[in-house]
Amino acid sequence: MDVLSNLALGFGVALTLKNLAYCFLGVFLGTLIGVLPGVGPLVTIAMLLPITFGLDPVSSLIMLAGIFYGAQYGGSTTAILVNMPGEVSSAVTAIDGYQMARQGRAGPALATAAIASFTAGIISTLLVAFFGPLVGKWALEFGAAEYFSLMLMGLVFSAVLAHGDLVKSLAMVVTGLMLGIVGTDVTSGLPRFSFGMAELLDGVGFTVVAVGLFAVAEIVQNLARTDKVEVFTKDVKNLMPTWADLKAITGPTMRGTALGSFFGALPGITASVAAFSAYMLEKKIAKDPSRFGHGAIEGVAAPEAANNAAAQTHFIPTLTLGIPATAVMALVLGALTMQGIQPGPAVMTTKPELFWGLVASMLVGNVLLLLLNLPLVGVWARLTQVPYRFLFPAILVFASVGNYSLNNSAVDVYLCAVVGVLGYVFAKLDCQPAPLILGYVLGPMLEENLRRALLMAEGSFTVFVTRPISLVFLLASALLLVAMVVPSLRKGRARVAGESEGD
Amino acid sequence: MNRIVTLAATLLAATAFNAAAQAWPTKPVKIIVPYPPGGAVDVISRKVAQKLADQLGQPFVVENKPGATGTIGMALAAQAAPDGHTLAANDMTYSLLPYVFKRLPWDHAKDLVPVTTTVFVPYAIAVRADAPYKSLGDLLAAAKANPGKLNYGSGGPGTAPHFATESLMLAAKVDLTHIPYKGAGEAMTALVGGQIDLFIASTASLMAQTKGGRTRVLAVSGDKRLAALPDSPTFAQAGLPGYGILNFNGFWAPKGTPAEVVAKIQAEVAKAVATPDMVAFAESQGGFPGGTKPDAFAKTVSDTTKMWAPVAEKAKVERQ
Repeated sequence: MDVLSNLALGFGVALTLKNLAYCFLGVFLGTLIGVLPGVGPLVTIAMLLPITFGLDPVSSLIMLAGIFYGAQYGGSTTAILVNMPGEVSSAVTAIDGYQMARQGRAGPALATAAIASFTAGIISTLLVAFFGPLVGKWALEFGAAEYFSLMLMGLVFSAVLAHGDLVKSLAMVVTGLMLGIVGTDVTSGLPRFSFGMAELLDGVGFTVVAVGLFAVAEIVQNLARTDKVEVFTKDVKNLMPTWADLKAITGPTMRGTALGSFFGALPGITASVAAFSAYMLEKKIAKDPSRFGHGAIEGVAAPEAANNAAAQTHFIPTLTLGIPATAVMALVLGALTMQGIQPGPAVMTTKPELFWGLVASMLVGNVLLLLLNLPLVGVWARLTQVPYRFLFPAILVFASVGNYSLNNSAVDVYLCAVVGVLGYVFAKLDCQPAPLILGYVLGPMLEENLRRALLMAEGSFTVFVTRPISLVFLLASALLLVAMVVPSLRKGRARVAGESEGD
Repeated sequence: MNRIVTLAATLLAATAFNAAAQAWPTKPVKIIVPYPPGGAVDVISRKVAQKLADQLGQPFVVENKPGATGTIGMALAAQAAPDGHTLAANDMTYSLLPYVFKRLPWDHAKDLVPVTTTVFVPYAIAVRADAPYKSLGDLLAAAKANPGKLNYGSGGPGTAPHFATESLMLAAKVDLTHIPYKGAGEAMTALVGGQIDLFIASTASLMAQTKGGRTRVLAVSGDKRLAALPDSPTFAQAGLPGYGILNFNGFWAPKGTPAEVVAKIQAEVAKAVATPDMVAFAESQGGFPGGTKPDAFAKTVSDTTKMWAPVAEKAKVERQ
């Protein structure tokens, strides 16, 4: 097959000693920076950019790509251990991963994250190799109307899935929407809820919200306790997942990979949306959804698979079309441009060693990441045995450093503290942070694309049903609503009562 | 006693000042980039910074201070010590700021002194490769026949592509509908995907897709065709003389930076951007290297700022 001979060419490039070294350097750096919130691949790649001028294009691309997907591995480490998402897309992993760590299952959680990421990385890279150009063209069909309908479907999914106290969930979604609205309105260019602060004109950063809501609020809650309950149990069972664990994560990993690969190929959708969707899907189809949020291993596997799959398929629009899916991809493109390579459809034919070399290196890199991360699980897991009085100041310092380095601005650190206080209040009121994050992520995209679609259609709402892809999403949402609402209406009352007692 | 201390301090300050005037740089130089890493201003600043470090033997550190259309970083630079060890990098966006914000935290015309340019990149107008418009004339005729029906993209209200297109609407007397995106990259994707009809942006942002055969550049700014885009006429050749926008990238220094230091920075930057790899980089983007003298750059900045006044009024840009 053509793809196979191309892959052979790619491995010829990727397996040279030099490129192996750059690949390792990339994934190693990526793992490191993934651990720190705020210090993401964007900053790292920007700082390394001048160094790459001296390298040949393939080597620099292999290294930069390694940093990017390596960060997706590293980001889950602190999310699981101390409830501090190192990367934006790891926020979802924190929900169940941290609970697992508290129950003495940090090892299995970390290993699950690594295994799910690895599986997703390999599968999605093969997708890039076999279907890259095809998918790239299809992704271009997505305009404002399609994105709106897709986001709407996401919201409908989550509304249907909301369990427990519906009013509280809704309140949290709305709070998230309001947080997402802060900043300059994309359509009018006017500031909203910025209170005259220049720092708020670009909105409240995701890292600020996620770290404040998860890490800071958790610390305050733990310190506020007067009883002598340990934050982490001293009773650590096993470091590696059991066979039962592995069996439990197979399905979620595959579904997460599928969702992540899909979202990653769309320019304009970030890995965090992919991770969220995967999490919601698992919660939906689980036999016992109430386990989620209390250390369900599926809740770690699915989002980790999704965000790593998305990280690989982000390269589809980038390499086959020359269209960057994210800011990091734009930077990678910039690096290629500076090397005198015009990224675009022509790259695959004029520079096959570049495209296939990268694809092969992504397969190699994922293996390296697994080899790098699995032995580290034991080291990391021991971190939970550090007395909390030493652990929490360290977490706060890292959270502050990460938030500062986001924009090199102290305001982000203060904002994070404010969000932390809010998070504590929410916890006391028994409100879950997940719906808030969902509203915060989806809300602005929903609004932006709705207004953009209407601007283009001169105010006519028919645009959402006349465009086929958009129509499909809308129909799917409607079907879902009907399918979910009808049976739950029948037995709704009984179940709601049962759940609130269970909590 | 107090008086002696004051005197000593003054003397010390004066010597330090003189030393700075004669010998620059005496310590690491900070270049504030008021945008996130990876943008056009960031990339060119990092390239020039590396050259300057090699030439002068002092580190040149690029520091990203993004936020609020670059005003946070520029305000910080305006407050820095005026000794040439803090510079701010920006592009044509600087000339738009007075029309985007009601109030800037520094005096736009006075508190930051233009030092020199690093690279110039012309603006060009692009449509999708399979669009029916083969020339600027075709496009403008279609726009005249269907007022408000054609959509143009931008990276958001108050960005350079927004102003540049509104300026074209004034010059060509046509009416187009503005579809704002979050950043020029998203707008470019929308153009390639056929969501919008046209996009006016720097040749740097249009080059890759045009070379890749997905977009067509109908006209470029400037008085002659670009070597990188030989098939695209100038706006004058395409029938719209008097329209043309040249994006400048450059450095600013806080007000009060000694003229000798400003002159030295300009000379060193001019040397840096004239090296073959920098020239090649500029040309690959459709641009050409800068190195402009401080007074000429100051005139460019103030002329460009004035040029936008009627455009901002026409576009009814509501200030933040």
